[in-house]
Amino acid sequence: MSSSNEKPSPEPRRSFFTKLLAGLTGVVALLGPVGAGIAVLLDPLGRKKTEGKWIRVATLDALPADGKPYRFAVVDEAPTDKWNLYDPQPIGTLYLTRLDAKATPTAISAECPHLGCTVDFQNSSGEFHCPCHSADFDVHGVRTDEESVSPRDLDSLEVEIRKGKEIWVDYRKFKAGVGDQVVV
Amino acid sequence: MFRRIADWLDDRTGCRKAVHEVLYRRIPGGARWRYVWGTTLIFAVFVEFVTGLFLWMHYSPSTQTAWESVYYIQYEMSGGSLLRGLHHYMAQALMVLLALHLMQVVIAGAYRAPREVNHWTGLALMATLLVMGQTGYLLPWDQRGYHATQVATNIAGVTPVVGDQVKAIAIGGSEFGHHTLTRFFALHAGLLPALLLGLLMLHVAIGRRHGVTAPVESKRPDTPYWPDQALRDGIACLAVLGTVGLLATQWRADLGPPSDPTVDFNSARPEWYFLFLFQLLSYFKGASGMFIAAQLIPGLLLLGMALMPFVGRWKLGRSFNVVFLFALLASVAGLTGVALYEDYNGKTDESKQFLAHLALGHDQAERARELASMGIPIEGAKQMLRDDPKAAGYQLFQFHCAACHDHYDAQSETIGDRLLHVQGDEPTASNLYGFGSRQWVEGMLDPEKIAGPHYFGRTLLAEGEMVEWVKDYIGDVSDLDESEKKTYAKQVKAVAWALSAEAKLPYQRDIDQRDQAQISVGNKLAIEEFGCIDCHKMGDQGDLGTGPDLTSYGSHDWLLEFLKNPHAERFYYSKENYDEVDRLMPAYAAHADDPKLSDHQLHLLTRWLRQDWPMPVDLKAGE
Ligand code: FES
Repeated sequence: MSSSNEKPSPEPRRSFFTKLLAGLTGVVALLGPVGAGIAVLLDPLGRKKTEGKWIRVATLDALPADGKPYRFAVVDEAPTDKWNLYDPQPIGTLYLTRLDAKATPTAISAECPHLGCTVDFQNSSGEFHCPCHSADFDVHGVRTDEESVSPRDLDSLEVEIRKGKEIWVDYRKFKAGVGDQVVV
Repeated sequence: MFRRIADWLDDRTGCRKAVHEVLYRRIPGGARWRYVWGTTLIFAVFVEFVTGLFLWMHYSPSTQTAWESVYYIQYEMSGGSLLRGLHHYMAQALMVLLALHLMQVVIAGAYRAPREVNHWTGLALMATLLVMGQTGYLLPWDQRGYHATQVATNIAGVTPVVGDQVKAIAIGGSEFGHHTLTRFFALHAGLLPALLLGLLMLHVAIGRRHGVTAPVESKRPDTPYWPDQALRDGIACLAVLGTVGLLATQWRADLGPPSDPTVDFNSARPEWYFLFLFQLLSYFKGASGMFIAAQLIPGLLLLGMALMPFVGRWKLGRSFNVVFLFALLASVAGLTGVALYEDYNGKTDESKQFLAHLALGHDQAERARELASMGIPIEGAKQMLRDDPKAAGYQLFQFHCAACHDHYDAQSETIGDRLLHVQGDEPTASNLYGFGSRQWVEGMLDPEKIAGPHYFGRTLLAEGEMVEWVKDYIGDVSDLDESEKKTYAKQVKAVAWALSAEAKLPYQRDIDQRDQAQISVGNKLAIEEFGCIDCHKMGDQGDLGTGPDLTSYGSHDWLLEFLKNPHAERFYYSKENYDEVDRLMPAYAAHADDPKLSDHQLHLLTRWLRQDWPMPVDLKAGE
């Protein structure tokens, strides 16, 4: 077996070619299946981002006009997850506030901009509090600590009144942990 | 015969030499206890592989089956709890052993030439194990793992440039779902173990090549591995297994409530070996704080460890490395300690809230197990809890009623079941715990209590006729002598019991049955003596339009209708108060086409208020 190594190759050009070819076929053969797998792995990147959805959250009579934030569930009428289509389900929560009977309500997402925990409005302090790393926000969602762990204020959402009394919100989720509002 | 087979095999494979090489390799300076750490680490990895394999046989990664299959392993399969416990606690033991091994390496300076590559494979092993821990935490798909992983993937998302892509690939889309589980599972049970195995083999092979780092001063003769060192290794492994086994049987591996993003879970924390990072996060503020705390600092520390072989070349380098590692471990320990203290001290508001949420999580998990033991519907455990009067009723009450109402047992010192305990910070209406029960109605007819905070004290009705009547009619016993007072108290009680029996509360079924005689006496008294029917309708006596209808008071149907529209004539509406009703309780489904709460939700809420929910048969019998 070892004897062939001792003889110098008679055709160096062809040998170089063979080596190159052998190397290439090897690499292609090995990378082929990996590539196929990676293509599937990257599938989420190719998908279009789901922009905000206008969702009917409540009616005006459900929201006292006392300037206090009230929490409402955001219900998606047809949520999907890959192969599943679900019955209507809550996909998040938000706070609606109405200053007085005439004002259009404002909406604030209940998702903490720091890392995405759910903030809680506390009647006693009149502030939103995040239980995870203790970020605090005032009724309007503005950070109260000068040095807050939260990189930005609570995210406000667009509100529209339809048919005179229905409160519709352009519901979106924003990227956590960054200073700017980036839709995810 | 045996020998012949062995010879045959050896001739074809050369196995004898291989075995000999392993067993009789020379240990410089003889067998020592301090050489066992490496072996225990390999052993711990072996235990993880074995237990993991068997868990795999029974685990099903999808959002409707992950929690469910883990529940089944843990609570229904024989030995399941131990198996999962071993897997769970051995992973934690691994982290401890890893830290010890690392300390040993750094103190001995065992990273110096020619062992640099081995040091790096060791660090790569550590990183792999940490990622395995993190991915494994999600797989049960309970609230803890779900929320902790949400944080972890959000951290991945702030990586500069590629953050969004990394996150999307990791969770398989823009939201957590089926593919988050399948991907994490493939990482945890496929890719990472393969990587781990490869690295481990490399690490051990290179380690063998260089031999153990013998203490310089050793004068003892070398001995072969077998049997002295092998025995020490065996004992050490058994000790590790024993400790982990004890942990696994004493404190079962936890399974939190099934994940549901719409149910608040404010006690989510990472595994303890990541707590220091969690704590670090709260010190770094502002827009780039998270990147610095969760990526830059850990990255630099890892880099520092990787550079140890080079730093170690300098004169003071080795001591520097030792100081560096100990400072690092001390800060990790310190941060972990602070994180634990802040959560568990029980004194600060934050800690109190955390502990309350923690207890709530336990009770939710407990309820999920109760329901699961009766069979989980095909839609999965999340939906099962959303349809459960106890768990979902609690959520609904928190969400829709707790701004005004409390719901807790004021008689009891301890909190008991958290799913029945709602204590608002500024309630403006009554405490609805045990609504319609004997205790509740007795309190209502008690002149001391009716205007108190648990009944009408905080509402408009504090000035109302009912309060006046209870105070004047029931409260005024000045013209009675002692024995008359006693009889009278008994009569009041009978009336209360009769009214309470109208509710047909499931938890009062037995006593209602037992006290039928008193109840009919009470009924008669209410109509003939007490004059309840002057204001209330009771069966075919009395009229609507002054006080609420007392027919079937507190029953499922009564309560349901009341929640739908308390302003109806059957309840609060009357000619006198008609401008006031709106300021009392709001209606939740006054108009059928535009309800604030759906029929399903109202049914759940009603059943929760009546503590009317399914219980497993054996638990019921045990009560
Ligand atoms: S997630 Fe809210 S403070 Fe960290």
